[in-house]
Amino acid sequence: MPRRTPGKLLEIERQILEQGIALQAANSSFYGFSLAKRIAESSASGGLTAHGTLYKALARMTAAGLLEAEWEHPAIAEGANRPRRRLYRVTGEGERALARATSTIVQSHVAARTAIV
Amino acid sequence: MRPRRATSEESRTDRAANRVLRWCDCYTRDVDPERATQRRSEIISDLHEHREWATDAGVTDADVARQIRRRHFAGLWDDLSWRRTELRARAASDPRFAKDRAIEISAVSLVAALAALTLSWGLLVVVRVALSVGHWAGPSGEVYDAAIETSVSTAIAVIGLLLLIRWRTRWMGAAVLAVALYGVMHFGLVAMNYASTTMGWLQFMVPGWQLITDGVAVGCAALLMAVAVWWMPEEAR
Repeated sequence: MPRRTPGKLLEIERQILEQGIALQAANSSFYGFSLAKRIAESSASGGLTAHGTLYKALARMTAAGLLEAEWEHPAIAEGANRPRRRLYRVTGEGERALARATSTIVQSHVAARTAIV
Repeated sequence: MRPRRATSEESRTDRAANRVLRWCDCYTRDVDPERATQRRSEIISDLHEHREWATDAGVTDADVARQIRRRHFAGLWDDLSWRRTELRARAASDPRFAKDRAIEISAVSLVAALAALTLSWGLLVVVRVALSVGHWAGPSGEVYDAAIETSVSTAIAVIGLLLLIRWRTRWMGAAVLAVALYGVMHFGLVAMNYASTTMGWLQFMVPGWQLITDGVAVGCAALLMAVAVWWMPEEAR
């Protein structure tokens, strides 16, 4: 596995932040499968993110403060007759990290275009 | 929701989901209990949501099962990597766990080394005896008997190795391997005394050679037995 640059987002992390922000704008929070489905819909491959990849990334990003997580209230899950969901929200730090990553991508595209011209 | 054994009434999705949960039980073993429960609960929720979504979207049982299997296999490496990180974190914060883990790794390494030694020696003896049929000077019946006993011991070692693979039966695997190791070492040396010039020379020249080799075999077997007792679950004691 390649050593990652501090402060730089992995592709899966960028996708989680991007799609997580979109999901929480509609539902105030998101959970694992809703995120996997949303990422699948927005990606070219269309495949659902692997369990291991998704939940490892979510745990790492929560520990890094990019996401905050809490378990759904048991009564809500019981009422809906389903297991409890772990609900995530993108934090301010997560939004800033995504903004930095997006601007880096834009800058590198501009630099590449300038070099070609 | 516990993983269950597959039955004929179970759908393909049930089987795929149970496989995911059994795997989850494996890679969360020894991880901090709270973190392990959290991961398991998230997987249970994910599998449930996946099935609900598939039902609403009209996805067939076979296709959902395929999707679950793909998500399972594609994430194996990340599951193991997550496990390694979690175990390191637990060991860093809990000295007793770190000590137990170090002993566990030593025990697994010891058993793996002795299993490799037993199988290699057993196969070497069988091949060596087979290649030297008709070339030795001595009572051939004793060599054949020793070679057969070595083959049987090697086969027992293979059974022990298979038992070692599963967590629940690994203590039995270590015990079976202890018996196999003694058999392979003892009978293998008897056979090799005839089939190998070097071994024959060692037996002739080194005083107490048989006693020394038997002592080493008993020592290694005792180590395996000690590991077997240590690994034995409470309910089996």
